[in-house]
Amino acid sequence: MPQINLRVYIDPGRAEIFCNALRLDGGYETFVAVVDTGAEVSLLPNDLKNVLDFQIWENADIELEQAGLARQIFRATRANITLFFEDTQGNKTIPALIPVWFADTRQPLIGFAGVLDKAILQIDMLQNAGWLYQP
Amino acid sequence: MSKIRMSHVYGETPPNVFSDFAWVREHQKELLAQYGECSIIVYRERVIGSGLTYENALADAERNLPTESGEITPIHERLHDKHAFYRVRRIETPNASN
Repeated sequence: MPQINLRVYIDPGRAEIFCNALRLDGGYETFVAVVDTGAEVSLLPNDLKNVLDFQIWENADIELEQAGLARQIFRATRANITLFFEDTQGNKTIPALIPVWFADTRQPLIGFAGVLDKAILQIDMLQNAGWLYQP
Repeated sequence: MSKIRMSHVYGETPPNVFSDFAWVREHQKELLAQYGECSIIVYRERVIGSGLTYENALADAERNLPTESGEITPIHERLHDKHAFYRVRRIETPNASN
């Protein structure tokens, strides 16, 4: 996996990555996701279910408690999608199958399962820079 | 047939994609003030469609596209408050004095 440059911001602080997910038409669609070290699994908005090519899990529908907050429960659908990462310098990964949860959210998140748990993540807030790479 | 192409072949990301995402990020506050929390379709640093869902925004962009336009490769972005957990709202109580 080549080193992928992240977009790192302050106010609010966040690290973002360009994702390209396989669509039903056979092409890839680019979107920006937040790299979230608090996310067990990557999270995608429900409306992407209409355009992305995904394989739904058995017993796919689950309920999640958001960030451990009581009464902040939402529903999600577990699936696998084909995705690669890219940056503005032309670095890109090979498309790979990763698990995601589709949920009622506006913010795509990249979490641990299949991505961060296989990679080295570096964030330099002083330089507004960050990298994700797999040794 | 649609002139709006939202997908690309591996390794052939259209050149406007990165600059359009950067433009949205740079103008997030103004766009949120103008459109509210919704989906927008952006091409070459211009909003060409908006709607409550991705599907609606895309349909709006299709309607707004000039008939003489060639194929375009816009991006889709969801406008939303970046501090979703930190919104502060005053709690109204019946006996509040101020």
